Amino acid sequence: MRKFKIRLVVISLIAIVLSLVMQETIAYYSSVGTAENIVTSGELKLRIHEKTDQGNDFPAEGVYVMPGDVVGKCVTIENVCGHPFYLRVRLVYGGSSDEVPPEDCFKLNINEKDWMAHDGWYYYNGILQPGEITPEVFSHVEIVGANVDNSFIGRTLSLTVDAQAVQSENNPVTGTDYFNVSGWPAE
Amino acid sequence: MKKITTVLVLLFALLFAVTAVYAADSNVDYLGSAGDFVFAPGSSYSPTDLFSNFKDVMPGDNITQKITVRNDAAKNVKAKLYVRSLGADDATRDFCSKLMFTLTKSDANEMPYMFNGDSAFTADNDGWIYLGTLYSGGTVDLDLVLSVPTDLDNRYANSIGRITWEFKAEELPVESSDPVPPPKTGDNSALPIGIVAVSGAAVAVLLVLVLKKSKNQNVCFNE
Repeated sequence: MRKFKIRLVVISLIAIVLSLVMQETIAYYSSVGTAENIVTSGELKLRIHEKTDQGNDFPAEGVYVMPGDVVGKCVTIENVCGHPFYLRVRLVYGGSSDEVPPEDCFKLNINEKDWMAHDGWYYYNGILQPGEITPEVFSHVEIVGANVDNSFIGRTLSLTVDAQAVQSENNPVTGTDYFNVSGWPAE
Repeated sequence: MKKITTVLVLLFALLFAVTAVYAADSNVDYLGSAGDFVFAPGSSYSPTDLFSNFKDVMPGDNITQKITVRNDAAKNVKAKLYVRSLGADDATRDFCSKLMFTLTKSDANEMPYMFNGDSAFTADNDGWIYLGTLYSGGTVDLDLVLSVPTDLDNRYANSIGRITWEFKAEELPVESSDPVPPPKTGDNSALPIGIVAVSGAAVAVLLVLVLKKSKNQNVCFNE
């Protein structure tokens, strides 16, 4: 009987202590609110402009040429996103002659002041800021008469401009080694 | 009349400019009495969006979002405030898993507090984070830092991540021994002052316009 009383007292004391502790943590009200938070990532966007000598868009269907012709085709690149970027351009030649490589059929007046040739690409000497347009990559294309002979009559030659951009934010360059910046897509 | 219209347009333009300057910070207001939480400023993606600064992020970015949590209960209310992340939704989990969040209590706060959001922002973490006990008018400033890895590749360009946070308030009885909340210092008063100043000027111009019109009418009446 005495043990029972002692146990009762101990249990009562524990209950009292617990209730006191619980009282400290009991809240009168509780409320929960939910916030849906959004993270968005940016992207790089560029636009290639190809203009004739008259300032019109170069015709998508192409132009008829003769050996020795010099065609006005001014190629520039515009930054049409909100981020600055590095830029490089590759010229891809195509043709239907088995005897003459297509690149030998064209002669371009590359703007070497603003574009630096390296490993088959032309790298823009600088960072293109949002809304800016580069100086021309080239402005005229000569059809090399010495290489384009009668075998090209009725055939098609193509010159495709391929441009790539890499962000310059958080991506510093050493000097002017634009071809060494991180992030150029693998070929 | 043309001049007054121009002045009004300029004033309203200034008003919006003032608002835009302060749009980068976010606020969480607890209204008290088991009432609602109010989240601001929101965005075009979500009315409760607290991540104003985390838009259009790029690889390598380290961006801080200041979030002020306030006990905005009108009467004398003491509340324990908590936050937890429910993680990203299924559609955006892949993108969000590449991002690193770190939430810290701002240096301006007296109470030391810190936790690394690395684990808290995974989808299955449902642990509440205690922010502090605030009295009516009390605030706690949080700095949420988003770190975007430099190796985030083109697959994640133009992506959206949706991360749900929950805030919880537990009201407690106010004790006589509780510290008295410090008086408001007016540190955050730049926005209201700017708005009040511009609004006041707009009202003044309108008043001048009305008085001028009234005067003209009087002249006509006298004639």
